[in-house]
Amino acid sequence: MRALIEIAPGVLLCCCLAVAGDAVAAWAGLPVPGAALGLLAYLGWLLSGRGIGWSRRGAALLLRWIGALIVPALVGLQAFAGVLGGAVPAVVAVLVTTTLVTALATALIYRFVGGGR
Amino acid sequence: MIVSAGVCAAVLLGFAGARWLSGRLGHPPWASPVLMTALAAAAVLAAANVPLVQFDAATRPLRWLLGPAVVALALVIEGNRQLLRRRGAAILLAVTGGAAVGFGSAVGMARLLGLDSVLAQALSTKTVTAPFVVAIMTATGGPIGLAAALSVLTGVIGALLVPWLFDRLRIGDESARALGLGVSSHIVGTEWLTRRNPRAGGLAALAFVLTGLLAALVVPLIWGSVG
Repeated sequence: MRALIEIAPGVLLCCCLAVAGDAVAAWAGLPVPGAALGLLAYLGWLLSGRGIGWSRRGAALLLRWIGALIVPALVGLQAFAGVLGGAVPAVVAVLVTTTLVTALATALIYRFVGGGR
Repeated sequence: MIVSAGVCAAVLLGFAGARWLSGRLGHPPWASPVLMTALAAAAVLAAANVPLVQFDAATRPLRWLLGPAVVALALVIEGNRQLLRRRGAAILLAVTGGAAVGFGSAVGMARLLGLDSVLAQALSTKTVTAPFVVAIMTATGGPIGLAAALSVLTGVIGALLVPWLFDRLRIGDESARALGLGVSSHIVGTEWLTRRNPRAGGLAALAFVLTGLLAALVVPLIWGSVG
């Protein structure tokens, strides 16, 4: 029971911010996901340091289970078997090449702008 | 309602089991709990002859909770505020540049290889962590399942290959390596790094959350103007 009381406020706050973000995106006619706007709002609140410590436990719980929340979307891959079809080798080639290129570009840019020192 | 609660509980339990199994195996990148749970769920659906639509409807509460979980990712950025204060400009430049290269190289290579436009759209978010991918594709009506799968697969590939690439090219700076791994291989790469070096793992986590946030704010606008 006590655990629930400690966790519920943070979970509820994140839920409210996600819903509010969706509402703002819809109102402004922006195609961006509302959750991203909710994240910005929560971040601003956290950084302002105005006693929002009560939300941490619940938010951390959501983060710990974020992997499980992706599972339904991933199972939906089945519906795309037709699109993937014979393109699997090409897709794997794109994934491997661009992942290495991206990692290298990020590391080099960081070094170039002097972040390494 | 009862069926939905049962299916959601089964997915959560399956994920907990997969996480335990992954730990027993020593957390290798290929034993991603997300991948294992999804494969197991797909196998159960196939064996029991349950149509995907029914599974989708039953797991709607879990899909919905992904939004609040994305909001909670603010904790990761806030946890790194000291680092952001000291080296924020360099980190933001590296993340923005890396994410742009990730987006551009994936879309460009897809075009070059003549891949289907749906595939190209799914590939455009491969350098973005799956929770953000689902949010982006839901907001833009893109191929959710395909894009999420390519994102998770990218994480596995990156965790396996990027550290090797950095070793080969003698890129030794801890921060540069962490940022490169975080941007390119998001959650899977970050978890791999965190187990070896928690401090570098924190920086990688910051990198993948910033990449996801950036993509969530920019990619829908790009697809909106192209489509």
